[in-house]
Amino acid sequence: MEPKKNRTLEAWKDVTIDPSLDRFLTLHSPIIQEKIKSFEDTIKNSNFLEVVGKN
Amino acid sequence: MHLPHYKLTTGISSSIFEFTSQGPKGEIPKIIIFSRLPRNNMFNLAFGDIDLQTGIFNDKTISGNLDSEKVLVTVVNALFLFFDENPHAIIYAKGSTKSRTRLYRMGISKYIQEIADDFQVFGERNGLWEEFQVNIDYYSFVIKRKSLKFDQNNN
Repeated sequence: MEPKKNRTLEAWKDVTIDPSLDRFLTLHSPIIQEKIKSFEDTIKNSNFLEVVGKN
Repeated sequence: MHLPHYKLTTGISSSIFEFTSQGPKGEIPKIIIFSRLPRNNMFNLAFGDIDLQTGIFNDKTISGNLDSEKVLVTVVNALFLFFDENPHAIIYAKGSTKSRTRLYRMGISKYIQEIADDFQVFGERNGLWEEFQVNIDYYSFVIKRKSLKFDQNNN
């Protein structure tokens, strides 16, 4: 995975890069699956597209 | 944001940020994860404690480390950094508990003036979305850059 290049904020200079952190991206999946379901319910049963999509 | 905050560490992907809360309960590793949702440019923001050895993530704990303000600013900083690399992202955030949702609301309310020039914030209450208003209890939130269209047909 290549680091992204478009870092414009000065705040990036204070950020440490640790490639090993990316291992956690897969470990939290049950929680994220729950959030995805919640989000999809929000999309289907609300005015989300009308309000967020049009602005 | 030049308010007291914790130093962030990120992975190569810049989709994950880690910092260490410090206070009376000791050093507590915290993690912020931006996960792609099955909709165009939409990401879920997850935030909580993590055991760096086991990878066990808990987004329901209350640390009690008396540093909630500093933690909040750190999460906002991570949000800005993520948007810097992902300018077309639309971030969805829903607290795992009522208190966590309240923390998000307080954070957005506090910095709404600072972010209003560049970002739009929406809140969901009673199943309906509206532009974020201070002092209203929302169930979940969406933040995006201004003038960014949500393409409902592009998953």
